[in-house]
Amino acid sequence: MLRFIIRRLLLAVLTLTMVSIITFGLFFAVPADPARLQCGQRCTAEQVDAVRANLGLDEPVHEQYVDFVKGIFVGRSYDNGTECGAPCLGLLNVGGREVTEVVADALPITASIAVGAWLIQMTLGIGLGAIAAIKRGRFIDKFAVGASLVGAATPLFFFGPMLLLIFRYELEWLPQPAYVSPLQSIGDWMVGMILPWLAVSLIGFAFETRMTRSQMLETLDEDFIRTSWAKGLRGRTVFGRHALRASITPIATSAGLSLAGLLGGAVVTETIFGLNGLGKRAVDAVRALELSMVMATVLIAALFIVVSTLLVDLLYAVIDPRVRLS
Amino acid sequence: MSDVDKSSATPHTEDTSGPQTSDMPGVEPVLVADMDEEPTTAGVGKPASEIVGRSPMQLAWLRLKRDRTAKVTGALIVLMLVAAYGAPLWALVYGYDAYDQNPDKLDGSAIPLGVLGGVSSEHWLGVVPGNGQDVLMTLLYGIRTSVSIAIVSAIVVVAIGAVIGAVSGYVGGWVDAVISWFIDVMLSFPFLIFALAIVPIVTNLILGGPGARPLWLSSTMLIVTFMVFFWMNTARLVRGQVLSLREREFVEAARASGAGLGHIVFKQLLPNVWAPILVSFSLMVPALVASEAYLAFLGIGVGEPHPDLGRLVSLAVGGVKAQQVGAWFLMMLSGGTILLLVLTFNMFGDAVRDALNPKSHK
Amino acid sequence: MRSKELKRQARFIAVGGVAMALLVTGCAENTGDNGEGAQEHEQNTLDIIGTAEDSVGPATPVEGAVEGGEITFIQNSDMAHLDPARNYVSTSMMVGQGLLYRTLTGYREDGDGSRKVVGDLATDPGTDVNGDCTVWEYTLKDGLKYEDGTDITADHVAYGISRAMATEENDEGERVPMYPEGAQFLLDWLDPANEYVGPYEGEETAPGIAVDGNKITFTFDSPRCETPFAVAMPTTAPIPPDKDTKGEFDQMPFSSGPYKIEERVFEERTVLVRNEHWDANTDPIRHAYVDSFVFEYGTQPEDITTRLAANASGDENLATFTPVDSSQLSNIVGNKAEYEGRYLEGPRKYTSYLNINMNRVTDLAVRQAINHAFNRDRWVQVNGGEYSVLPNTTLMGPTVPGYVDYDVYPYDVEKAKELLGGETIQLRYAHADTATEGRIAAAMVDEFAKAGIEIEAVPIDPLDWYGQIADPDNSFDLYWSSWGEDWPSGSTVFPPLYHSRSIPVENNYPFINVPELDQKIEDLESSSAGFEETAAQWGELGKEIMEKYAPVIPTDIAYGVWISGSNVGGHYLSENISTLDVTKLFVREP
Repeated sequence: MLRFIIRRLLLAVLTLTMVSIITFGLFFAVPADPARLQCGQRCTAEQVDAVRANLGLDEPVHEQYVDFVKGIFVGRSYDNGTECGAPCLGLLNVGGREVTEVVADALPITASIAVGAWLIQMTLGIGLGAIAAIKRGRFIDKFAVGASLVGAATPLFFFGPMLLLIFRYELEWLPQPAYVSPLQSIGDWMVGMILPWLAVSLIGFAFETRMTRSQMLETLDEDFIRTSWAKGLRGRTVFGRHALRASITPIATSAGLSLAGLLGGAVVTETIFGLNGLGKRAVDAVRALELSMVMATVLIAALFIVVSTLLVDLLYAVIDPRVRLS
Repeated sequence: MSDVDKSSATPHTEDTSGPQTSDMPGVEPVLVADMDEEPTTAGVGKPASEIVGRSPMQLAWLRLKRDRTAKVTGALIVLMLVAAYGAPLWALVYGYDAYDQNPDKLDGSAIPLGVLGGVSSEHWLGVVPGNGQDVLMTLLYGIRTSVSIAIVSAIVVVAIGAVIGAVSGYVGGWVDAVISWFIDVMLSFPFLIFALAIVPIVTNLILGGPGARPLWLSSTMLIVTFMVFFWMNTARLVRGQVLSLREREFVEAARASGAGLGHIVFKQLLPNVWAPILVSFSLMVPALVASEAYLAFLGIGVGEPHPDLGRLVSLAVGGVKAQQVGAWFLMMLSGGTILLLVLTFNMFGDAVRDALNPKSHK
Repeated sequence: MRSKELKRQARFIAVGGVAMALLVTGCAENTGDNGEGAQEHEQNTLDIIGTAEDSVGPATPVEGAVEGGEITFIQNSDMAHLDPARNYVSTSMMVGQGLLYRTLTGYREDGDGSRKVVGDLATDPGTDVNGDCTVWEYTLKDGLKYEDGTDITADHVAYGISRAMATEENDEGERVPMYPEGAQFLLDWLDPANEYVGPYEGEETAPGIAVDGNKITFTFDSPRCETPFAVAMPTTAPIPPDKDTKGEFDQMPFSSGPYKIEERVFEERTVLVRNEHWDANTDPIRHAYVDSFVFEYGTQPEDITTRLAANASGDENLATFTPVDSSQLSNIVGNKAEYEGRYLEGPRKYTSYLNINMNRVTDLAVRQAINHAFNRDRWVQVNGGEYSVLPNTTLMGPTVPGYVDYDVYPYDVEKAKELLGGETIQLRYAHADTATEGRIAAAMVDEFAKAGIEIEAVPIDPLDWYGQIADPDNSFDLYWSSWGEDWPSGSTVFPPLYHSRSIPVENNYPFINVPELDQKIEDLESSSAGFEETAAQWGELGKEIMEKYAPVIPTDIAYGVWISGSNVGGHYLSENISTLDVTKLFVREP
């Protein structure tokens, strides 16, 4: 078990390194020039060069990469006297703010959207999926299948603005989506997050519903369930104690991976609702050629995916004795 | 590493290609969920229980023909494709092409005159704000662009995935380890962010600087982007299948007779994993149609003057936000078209999977 | 039409379903009638230099204004620069000069459409000591204080200007400006040869500046009759040397104005609170009705409008400098009555052009043909209508005194074909790679084709826009650019746009390089005849340039519509900066 964990951890580190190298390298292939951009339209070639030197962009790519990685572990100090303590993800070209700080501001927003939406879509998806499996062929089953099909086909950029227009601007039932720290006020936090949660989860639950339904149906077909019926156990006991429990492992897997997916999906959600989370910042950073910020967001997104995959694998190893670890 | 040979219906850890490849809620998870069941239940490995005299392919086809969902969605798809690919012909009868601009149908602010965004006997579904192209024709041409890009990309993506997966599974050892790890790496990238970064690079590589962007170029850009980011699921799936095939007699026999890697992969292995590849493909198409629309929403994709569904939705959503008269109609039409496309392709894909997998639950 | 009544009905029905709500709000007929048209520019008078009396504070009160409350501005992005040496973009200038720092002179706008340049820190707009515009003297008012209560002195003004000229050595040993982004006029006049290295490594005070007690004197080597305007640019803001934090000053400038920075996180939020040491009686320009201003960034322009238009509860104190997005104009303008008291519209000073690259399109007849083939009505339509842009055919817009109205090349497809001699020509039209610009390009392809001009639309990464078009060797024939004069004179229009010295770092994007024209521009610039005399000559020069060279297609002049939350009052379009005048705003019910 320990060997398995260590091996997976090492692989995860290797994966993150590779992701960071590819991102870094790719960025230097972008045709537009960040120094030119920052210098503005009235800059001469000499001034652009000076800006490039100030940003440290005149060094060879590999040195810049080494500096970046060093910054994460031991911090960096800059020519202009800025001390950036570890973990230092660099400074923004424009404004010179520490990227680590920006991430610290943005991460709670993205995490709030993801976790809340995830809880709603899990509850809705697993509940609806389980009921649909139990009431197979009945109206509720057909409804669940239909809703999940439509949900899966609905673009968020179409559904999100709809919700915003109706519930915020037309009916004024909800306030402007905004982030308030839950440490400050749980109520305000929830109220500010309701719209993004609804938009994401009402589309996202489709996946969980289908997953749960098909898993439950599979389990209900298995011998031990038939035996339970034969033993004369009541319906609720069979479904609740045996069927749902047996299906829980794959559902948990999909749950873990959904969460990671939601973090990645923040780009569209945050753009629609005007929330300054990691996703929106990542897009802005790509458009503004803020390499440090792009690196930070990509690494965090990748970290989440790698960690959740790892956790899911471990969960398997613990729950399901049929999985052999090597 | 988890055990690949376990026989239960439990998804393999290795093969659980989670929704992390998708930045877009609801786009790919469906594909992924369906894939999970595939490796263990597709008919390839277990021919014994089937009726003698019919190939699994024939059986699947029979099942598909009997499936009502498949018949309805299949017919719808054919209808849409005929309408879309025949659009230039319809345009001759109808009088307007999707490229014809009709500024006289717009008011001084370039918003359609009249009701429902300019619905009239000339323009059955109205005209597009801005330059006044016919909405009906724009939708038809848009479907054509969207579906063409999705199908070509899906072919490329699935082919790449299948070959990589087959090589990885068959060769095994460190090659397999490296490929599996590389798949993990690729799955860790946030797609939308990278698409934003990669498109200008690809364009620059092709054009060597700024240049006009004809339809083929925008399409190539999108296909390359999809090619880079969508092959991993297929690769994992095929790898899982090939792992279970590589020790079987016909492969052993081919190897013993001195066949090379190419022969074994293309002639022996891939023909035997066509079922999951087909399923992969049929569910990849709607996923790519949706992805193309998401990219258009972020401003990447087929540019003016070429008709595009994603761009049309963005325009209409903007109009609705701005409470432009009649914009909601355009939004319902364009959003509805994308929804319908994805929905029918998804349902048809599901039906294909069910037909290939008799044990699956509908 | 969307009235209050309809809205209530919609609210009721929407409970029943999404589609129904949309039906009610959306199922109206668009007749294309927006009521009365956009306002035309009022002709500017030459009488815009104020007197010593005009320079006495306090500023003329805004009707109905009350003190207190907080206004929150929602913007897409943060102020480009707040350092007065670098501040040269409209929104930043409005915040910087309106709220944070004062300059030697400034523009007094009394809310009745009048505009006069008056003494701000100085007691008057300036004294032309010798009567030939070469020596200008300014005396500072008494009782001027910074945010920490210390005195503002003439030395600090001199330091602020000198600092704006600071240079540093780059890796190749060349001296490059440290703050290149700001307005350069005054700096170039003081040090035409660019010899001064700045106060950090050289003399404390720049050449041409002399300080004596509370007097500051500028000496130029040629007549500079527009000095009262030039010293109204942000570069004359006072800075005490011990408060000069160099690069960081851009984030946290030291305040001499009615507000000071309490909190600033770049691209996140900025909070301004009252500067208690600012004395309204010394200030003829600014008010300070509001207790605090908050700026929040990160909302897309169209979402800003949607949010402000909705005016939902909690959003009543919002405002923005961002004009209503062109997609939203028809709704907002068509329902002006609904936005009464929180609505502002008017023509702005930004004129736009399609530059014709004279390095590539060398034949005058072709450039004239391109001008004739340009369908200005279609351009205005596809740009969102006359509430977005007003058609313009001149090089110097109507906001500048001396404006001459001419249309040298009216839309005439036949004339264009004739000039082209029946031949078909191909042109490359560069546009920013955005949905809106793509649509405009498509419309231009359609229109120019009528005259046998085949347009190839080339999308360019918006990031790389200036990098591409400012290059004299670029491969495009037609591309957009826009310009607003720094002060109401042709001297801030023609030199940066049509003088050969403005290739490539300034805004001479058609790359027009005609020695004869350069000479004419220089003569007018250093004329000692005075501002009133040269104004009309600049106007005529524009017409001459169009006739003789046709280097651009004048396309439009920007029009702005602004809305805010319902609790914000005092909307006024600042003529000087051409955006919502932040100093006149107040909170109706604090």
